[in-house]
Amino acid sequence: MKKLKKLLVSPKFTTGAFIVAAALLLFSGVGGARAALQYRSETYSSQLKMYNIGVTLMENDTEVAWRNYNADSVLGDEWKQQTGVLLENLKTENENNAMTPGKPYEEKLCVKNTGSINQYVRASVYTYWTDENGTKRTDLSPSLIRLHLIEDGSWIEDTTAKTPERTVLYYTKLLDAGQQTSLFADSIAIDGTIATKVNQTTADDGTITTEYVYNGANFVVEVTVDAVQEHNAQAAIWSAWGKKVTVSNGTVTLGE
Amino acid sequence: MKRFNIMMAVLAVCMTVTAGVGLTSSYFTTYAEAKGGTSVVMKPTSTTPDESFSDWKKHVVITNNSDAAPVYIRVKAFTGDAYELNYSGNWTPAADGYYVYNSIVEAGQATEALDITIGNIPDDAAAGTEFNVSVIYEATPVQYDENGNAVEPVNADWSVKLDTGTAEGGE
Repeated sequence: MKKLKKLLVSPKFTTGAFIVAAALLLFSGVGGARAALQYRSETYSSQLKMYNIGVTLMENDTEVAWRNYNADSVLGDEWKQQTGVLLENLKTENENNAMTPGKPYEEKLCVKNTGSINQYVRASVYTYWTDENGTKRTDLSPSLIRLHLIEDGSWIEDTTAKTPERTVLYYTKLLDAGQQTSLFADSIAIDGTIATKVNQTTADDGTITTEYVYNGANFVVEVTVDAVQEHNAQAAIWSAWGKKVTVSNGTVTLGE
Repeated sequence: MKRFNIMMAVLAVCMTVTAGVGLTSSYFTTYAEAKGGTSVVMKPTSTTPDESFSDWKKHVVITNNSDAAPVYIRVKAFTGDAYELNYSGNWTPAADGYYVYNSIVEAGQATEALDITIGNIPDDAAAGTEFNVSVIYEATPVQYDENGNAVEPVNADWSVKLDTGTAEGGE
């Protein structure tokens, strides 16, 4: 036992173990070698195709936000992107684009594949109220902002990701290059119950004046669309989005 | 020498562990973001009643004051059991005895008169006999359907209760 202990602490043993570890590391990267027939064809020319991924958010048939990868062998690779502004051209009857509670306004949202490879996409929608400085308000519920989401089988909601402010939708089909999805939203409205908080006065002549406490309240809608490659999509979605899905025959279902 | 042995041992362990690490992969991904907002406008409602009386008829007109939101108007009258009330004009009978004005009343506009005829007046009624016809009215902002179209006045929802804050009772 003493001899064994002496051997283990000896410099020679330590050096030998180090050499073995180095050899293991070196040979772990070596694959099997095979011998194969070789045939060399005549010289021919071919084109190298670069795969570009790109995704665009469409609002009312207009591209408002995108991020497209452009691989150029001459000019170099680059991302072309734009962060968009939503609700800029709402067709309201009020000044400054303001909305009337209870009245829906057109707000058609969908996703377009502006890359050269097929992809799977999802959309994350956030809604919340703010004050005039842009600070979030907690006295008004985000549920009063009614962005009408369309879940028609093409888009499905990930209920595990839902919060009062956030809704995440997955497009269940493979989105081919150049194509766009069906709409995941088609209108926006403010719930009429926001108009029930009032200050009311009655004058001597019987005039009743009702003023609304939340008149002028500001709200925000944010949308983020994500795209991931078709190849090995199940692993790609898990790696990029942290979501377990099953991809089979071009169809995505949530969960394993 | 001892320190050298320790360092070598640690290095050996690290290399042995990393030999078992598999290959990592990167995937093509991208994203796009957009953000926007606006405000909510709720114009105040302000309505003024006007009543006149002639020929055993009470004429009721409600005015929607200027700079106010368009509204629906409904009116109801009360009197003693001895008398009968008959309504006429561009108004439609609705629930709970109310009469709803048939059009949306825009800011600065007034309803046509609701004529409330008092019936069953006794033939032997003495001069100076008093009776009372009380009129109440309500106004509510215009409502919209899922297509953004204004709901017809006769189909308006009058059940929305306003929250005017806390109220304190007196002694």
